[in-house]
Amino acid sequence: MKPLLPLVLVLFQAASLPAAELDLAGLGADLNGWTEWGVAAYGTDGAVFELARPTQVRREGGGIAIRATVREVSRAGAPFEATLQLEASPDGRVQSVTIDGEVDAKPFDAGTATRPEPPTVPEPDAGEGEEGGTSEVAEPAEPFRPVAALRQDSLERLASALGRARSSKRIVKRDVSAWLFGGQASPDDTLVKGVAVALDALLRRTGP
Amino acid sequence: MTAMSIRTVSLLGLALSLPLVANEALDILEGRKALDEVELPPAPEGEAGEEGIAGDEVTFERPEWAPSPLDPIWSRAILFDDPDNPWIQQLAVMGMVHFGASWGTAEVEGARDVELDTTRTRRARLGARLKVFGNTEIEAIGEFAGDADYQRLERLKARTQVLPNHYVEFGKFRPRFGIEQSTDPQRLLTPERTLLANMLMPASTLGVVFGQDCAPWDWSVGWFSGDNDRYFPGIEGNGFIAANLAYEMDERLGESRAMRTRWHLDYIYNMDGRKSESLPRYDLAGRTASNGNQAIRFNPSFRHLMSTGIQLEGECFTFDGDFVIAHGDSKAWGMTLTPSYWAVPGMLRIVGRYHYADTDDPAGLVGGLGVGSDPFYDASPVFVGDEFHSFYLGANVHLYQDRMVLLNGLEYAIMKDDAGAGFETDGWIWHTGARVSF
Repeated sequence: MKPLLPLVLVLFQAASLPAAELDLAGLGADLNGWTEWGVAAYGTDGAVFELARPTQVRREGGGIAIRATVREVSRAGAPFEATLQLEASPDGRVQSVTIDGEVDAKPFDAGTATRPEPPTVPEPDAGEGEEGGTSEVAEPAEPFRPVAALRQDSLERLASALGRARSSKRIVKRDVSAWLFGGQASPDDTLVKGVAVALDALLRRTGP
Repeated sequence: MTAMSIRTVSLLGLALSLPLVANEALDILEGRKALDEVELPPAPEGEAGEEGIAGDEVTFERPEWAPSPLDPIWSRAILFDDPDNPWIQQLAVMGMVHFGASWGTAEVEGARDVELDTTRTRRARLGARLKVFGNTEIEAIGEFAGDADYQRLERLKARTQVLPNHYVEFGKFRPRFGIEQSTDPQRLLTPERTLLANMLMPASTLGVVFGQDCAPWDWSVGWFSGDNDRYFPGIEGNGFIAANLAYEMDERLGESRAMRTRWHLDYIYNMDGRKSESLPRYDLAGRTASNGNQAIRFNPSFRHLMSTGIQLEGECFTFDGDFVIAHGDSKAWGMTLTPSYWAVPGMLRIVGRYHYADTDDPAGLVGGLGVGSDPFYDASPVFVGDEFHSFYLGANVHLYQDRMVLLNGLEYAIMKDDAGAGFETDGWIWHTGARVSF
């Protein structure tokens, strides 16, 4: 039995390695629950959005890639659709957020926002105070919130990409049915808010 | 030549071929500088390296359709879709109904005029598409066509990806030949194909094709049976060989505009000659032409058929230009020019078409006019002659994408019969129709 003990310990340790996971049940609960069609619908800023149940792909080493689609619900199908791809490390920290999709049949690509590195704290220089002759009071450093910064960066990129897509000269084919009964996507601010609700829930429910 | 002199000559050549500063060239020759220490000036415009070329790459992207309330209805045609399933990835229903009508009169010189007023279900198709094993696509389509007495298995084929970019197609299907013949009827811009296309189009028959897509080139070569059966054709005669070559590229039109150009060369060698049932695919021998009651003794028979042309596609316009020549017991050639323009993108498309066909043989051209222009399907009036011109101008109203379209147009057609009995025919024909597909 004794020779097997190290092996059992190694296996136990391997099994207890951290692995990121998206809590699908919790995500659905945050957004009014999953419907029988696999979507969670929620309203924000006067518009209705739905998040399709995300898919998860396990990365080597325990990380995961999460792919989720947010649509604006409209009688004209889906005038706005955004695909969010989150990469999380094994400890459940979201490292990057990539967003692309279509708004009023014009494609947009917001690119990838990455988790910021923690700021490096400068070593206090012993001679600095003496040379200046005065003792300066250091300003209190702002608290480092990488998830908030990542979220902010993603949404700013999205807003910018939506603006670029709308102003592009690319032609969109609008047939008679779309012309008579179709609708257009909500203003950019509303769309960004709609994505923000889903992104917040995804960031909140991704963990070890 | 010594190693030193070789080095000197190569350095001299390099110094002359590269726009180096004279002093630096001397430094290299005198050995004061190594070649890799010299900073080269940027290459002239148009001679950039790979990175520079990559920055100028152009990709044509077809405009998207705006969302429509009908999207959810049409998406129901896909019954099952799971790309991760190892056995079946997709099961979809395919269908099309094309109702057509034409009104006009063919005025025959020296004989009675022929009424062309006709309405009919031009095509009605129902079938299924199955994607299996991650590399195979199977299509099966049944068809009612023409005067609705005609029913057949239009297609039963499988396409398998055997190697990266290589594929094999086998089953019952039509070989690729010419632009119009190769275009699926649900994507045709005009209500009917041209006279020469209908006359030379091979039958949908038993065949096998091997091909490769290696952008910008693609090619294929295949063998097809000489049998022509409504349902399951067998192996009959020596059949025919079909070969295709095409080149596709995207070009920049303006700052943010691009255009796609495709050139093609298609060739068919019919090894059965006049004994073939699949080339031509119709049987008019023994019938009487409507212009002057001229007897049609033989079906047109060709051994060599060739088609070449270009297709241009921009955001708002397309242009198809195709030249066809066929040689056998008789000879026939012609061309088709089909420009189109989105007057209202997605809603209203203006389509023009000029078609010209010619032959040296009396009554060497044969075909119909109006809705019954394809002699394959029914017993509509057929006309013979030796030179044919057709001018078509129409407007297509797109109710839902390319899936629900109203087609309207006016055609003026002239069939000359100088080499034959002289029953020259011309007529104005108004076409209208509706096409629904999923």
